Amino acid sequence: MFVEGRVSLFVLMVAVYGLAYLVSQWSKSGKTWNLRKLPAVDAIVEGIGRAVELGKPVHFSAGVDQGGPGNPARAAGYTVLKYVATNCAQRGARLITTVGKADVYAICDQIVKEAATVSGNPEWYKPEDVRFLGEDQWVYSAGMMELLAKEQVVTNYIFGYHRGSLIILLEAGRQNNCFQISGMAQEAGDLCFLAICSDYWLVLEEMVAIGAYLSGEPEQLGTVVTQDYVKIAIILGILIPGALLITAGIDIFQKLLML
Amino acid sequence: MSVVLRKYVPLLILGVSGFLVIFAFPLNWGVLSGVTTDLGNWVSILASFALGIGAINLFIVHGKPIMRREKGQWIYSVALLSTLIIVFLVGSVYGVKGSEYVFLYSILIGAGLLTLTSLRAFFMFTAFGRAYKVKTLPGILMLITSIMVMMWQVPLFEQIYLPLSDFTKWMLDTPYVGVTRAILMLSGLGLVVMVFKLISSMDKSWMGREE
Repeated sequence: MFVEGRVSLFVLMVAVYGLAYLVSQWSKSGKTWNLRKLPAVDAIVEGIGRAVELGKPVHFSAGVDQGGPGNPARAAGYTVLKYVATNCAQRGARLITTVGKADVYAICDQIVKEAATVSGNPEWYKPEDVRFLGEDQWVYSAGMMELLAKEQVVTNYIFGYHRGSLIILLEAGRQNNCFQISGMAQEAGDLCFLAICSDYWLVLEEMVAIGAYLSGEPEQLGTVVTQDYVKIAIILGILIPGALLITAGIDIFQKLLML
Repeated sequence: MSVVLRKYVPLLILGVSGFLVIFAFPLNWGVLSGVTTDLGNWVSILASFALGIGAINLFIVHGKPIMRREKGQWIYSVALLSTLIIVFLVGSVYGVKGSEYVFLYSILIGAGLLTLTSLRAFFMFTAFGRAYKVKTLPGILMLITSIMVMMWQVPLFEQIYLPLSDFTKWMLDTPYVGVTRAILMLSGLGLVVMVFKLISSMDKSWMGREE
């Protein structure tokens, strides 16, 4: 009936969902939270301002491939795209969005189009400024390198799911003197390149938090707090006692987690 | 399109599919496993249709420079679109396993992809070159550690100076593994919360406009 090794994970997952729901409802009923300031969020607006001043375009990369756990990572990128597109439409900055996955293209096109409508500037939306560059990550990176140089992009946002070609995208932006902000929600060996090549970056849980941060909705802010509660619970309830017990030769935690 | 179709139907499909997949995760129950497999197949089918939309976008973006004879661009657009059409036709007629298609892939696409992959090495050098301009104590420590780890990868240094290899082995087996596991846990937790936001319709940014 049950798959070995998955029951404990399922229980933990349901517990996190339950807690997230409770904290969200608590938040909705008026509880306020002090969230750490994310400098990258302020920098997003700064980057658009720079593009407006120089009269050059902004580029947003929505990522390539869906690659398993990349799906939620891409979803985190949509929130940023919505924010960037709305700001660009309001301030009249040209935004070029590139996509490396056809199904993501349809979503991004819709987000950019709606941002133009919501901002009261529907003429700002141009179908050719949301571009599908190719499904392969290397093809995508070649297209993006060409675009950054040809269109003289001044601000480069790299979000969504990326793989080995990430370093090419980041370095291409850096060599074109772009102001760069990047973010990745999935674990990858290339995470260090975000710090090396970007002016501001968001990693892992920050990418998940940014959706709540930008929306400002109490329900979503509650999920950010949930993450912190769960982290504390894991450290105090599993990591420390688990390390102590296994050192003492008691493997109860190991057995429980293998259920 | 009515609000029900545009807003509630996608949310309902996402919520029900999401919960089904999550509940099927620990269970080895035929019916539920079959449903989740079908859901996965539907995703593949929809993604295949989306490829058509991607191709249309390529024609929109590259059709304009061709029609306007845009200097320095139109010839590349012609090359791209004609390649797309040729590869599509050859693949449709001979099949993706046909020798004609395999030849086209290896000559046109394979070689180009390999060239791009090799670019990664050069960009890594330039990126690390920037990272190693040390100005702070953590920067200096990172530089020393990474040089030692890189040296350990060369068999010559491993043979000459043994304590160095012990140190680098410890670096890779202990602090590196610890930090990697912490990153994995944070990433996993973040994704679990993100999935909750999506299937509970808390985060609707993927839908474009919020009513």
